Amino acid sequence: MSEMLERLHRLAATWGPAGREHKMAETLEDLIQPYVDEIEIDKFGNLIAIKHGIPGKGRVMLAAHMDTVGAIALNVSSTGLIHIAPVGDLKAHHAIGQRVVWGSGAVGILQHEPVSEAKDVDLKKLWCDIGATSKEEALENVRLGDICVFAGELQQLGDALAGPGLDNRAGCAVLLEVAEHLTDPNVDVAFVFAAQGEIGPRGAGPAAYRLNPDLALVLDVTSAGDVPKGPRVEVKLGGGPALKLKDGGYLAHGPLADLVARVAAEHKVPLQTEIAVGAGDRTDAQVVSIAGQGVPTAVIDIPARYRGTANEMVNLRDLHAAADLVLKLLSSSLELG
Amino acid sequence: MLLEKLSNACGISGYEDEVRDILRRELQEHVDEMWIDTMGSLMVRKGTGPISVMLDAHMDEVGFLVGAILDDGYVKLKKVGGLDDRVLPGRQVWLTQKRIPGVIGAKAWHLTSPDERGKVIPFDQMYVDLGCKTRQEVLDLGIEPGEPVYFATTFERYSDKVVKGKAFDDRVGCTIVATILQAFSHPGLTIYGSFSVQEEVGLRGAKVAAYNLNPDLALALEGTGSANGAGVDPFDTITNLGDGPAISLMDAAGFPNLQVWEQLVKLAQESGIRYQHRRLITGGTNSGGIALQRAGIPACTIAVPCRYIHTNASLLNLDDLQGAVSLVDHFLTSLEKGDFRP
Repeated sequence: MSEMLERLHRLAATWGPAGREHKMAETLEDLIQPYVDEIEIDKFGNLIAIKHGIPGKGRVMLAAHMDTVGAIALNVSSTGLIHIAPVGDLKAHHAIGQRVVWGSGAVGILQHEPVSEAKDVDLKKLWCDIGATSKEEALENVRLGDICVFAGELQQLGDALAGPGLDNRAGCAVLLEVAEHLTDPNVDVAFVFAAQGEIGPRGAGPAAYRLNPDLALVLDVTSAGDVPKGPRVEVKLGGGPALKLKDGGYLAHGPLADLVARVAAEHKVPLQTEIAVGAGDRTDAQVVSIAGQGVPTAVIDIPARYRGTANEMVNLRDLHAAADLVLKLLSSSLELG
Repeated sequence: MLLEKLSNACGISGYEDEVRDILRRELQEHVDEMWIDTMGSLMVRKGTGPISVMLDAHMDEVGFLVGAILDDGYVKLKKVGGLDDRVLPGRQVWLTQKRIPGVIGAKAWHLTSPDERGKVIPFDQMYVDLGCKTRQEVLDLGIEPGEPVYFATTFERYSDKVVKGKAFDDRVGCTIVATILQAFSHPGLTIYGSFSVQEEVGLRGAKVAAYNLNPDLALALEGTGSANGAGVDPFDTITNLGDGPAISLMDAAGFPNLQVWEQLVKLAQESGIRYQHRRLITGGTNSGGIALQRAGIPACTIAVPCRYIHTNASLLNLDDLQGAVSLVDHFLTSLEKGDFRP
């Protein structure tokens, strides 16, 4: 098994919804620690790891949010059913019947009131059954405010991988790959595994403010358009990473986007271009690019199918190409003219 | 009672002067420094201890602005903040800080179709009637487009515990923060009271305040919805009036800082302060905006349940208010003693 794949399996096995990233941060710290000079968790819960470059040559921030969508316990019925609200963009029709795991370790099943038509499906009619038969029994295992995420292991399907939380374990795995292969960088490279990317996004902004980098690259996933009635974008699974030009909260920094495209072309790294169409399509770039006095920011996305479901799908070739592209960028001149 | 004075004061977002003046008078004897920031928020500082804590409450309330003044003397309104159209028709209002009385009118019942009677009157069909016949008469009263409009509600005590008034969101928070500053001393801390502007239109004042104060941590004191009224399934009540202050689990503006949240829950349990969690995640509070300033500021919201929040008349239970004061005081004590560090 490749290092990349091994790491992805380990990340997938780590519980880490938005707002509760401490376990994920521990796993990532363990994985990146051999390759960096400094490491810490900031006040917001972001994991920040820095590899030193030549003093005075500047600093690049590489960011990937480390949280996943989930659901928060708000209420428990007298029969022990846990009523929930979404944490991030959880959709009821993706959730019905899925197995979930809570922060306490309790496992449950998401179920829904009977409906006669699919359009009547609603998160308000959804609950989590952990097998408890009373409110007291349920609260012994899951307290209010605990959060659950889709449970399940990654499944390899040829070069593709399917499983929960690949948004954004894929981006995290790319950063780990970069960290492993990055030797003697000119610039300081700050790896930021950002908290609360699925709500807001939030954590990456304070991290960028504090690091005050000369430029930032954000690694995230984006919806591929190559499925029936998928988003009307050109991005295909396996077609290489996608350079984002625009989404619901971001417009590309022109000179930096040009640089990314030029380096990809020079080194024959496949690169797709992407304009995310949904208002809800956001990445950490939204907050990183406007942090402090402003940070030139590019987004390099991993194409993904079935986002938000318990089986998101990415292609390993795209992850490797993204890591390759970031490494090539870091060894290029980063002058933006 | 301070809550009474603050509730009766009129201050929609952008027009917080009356509230600010009351707080200035109430607090000047009790704080070491006081200033008004560029947004108009009232900032106070008490103490010079090594740990700095921001206690935020917003001064603004929901209400309206005068929109178009019609040729026949009626006044159209623009909303400021979130308001429920179902409860607006027939309400008495005050126009401008001079409190010129009017009533929100709509099409006469006799003229409505059976179909219309079953529906909420659309906001754009409502208007304020001041008894004027011409646009000039309205202008002569000193009413111009852009002037603030308030619910004409006077604070009342319904029982030992339950009071009624407008703008409890967030004059109850202002009352809690002011009470902490007046009644308690925590010399080991630097306490910033942040009485912020423009919360109801996007958490605006508190974001700037937090950026400037750059505290070690922050608490936002709020009023929040409560629906344990007649006919509501106990399961759906959001919070219960009288069950104590609500320690937020999550809201539309984000998560509370987990360590601060855990500490508040622990202190409430240890000190026997009755508390609850808010069983709804919609609606944003200032702690969400504060948390994102600079390199991140640990923040959490504590809220007093208010029935009929964002309407002309809310109810709250004074025990819940007192519980919030007590919880904040215990929290400050634990910070001061070093039992808790952000």
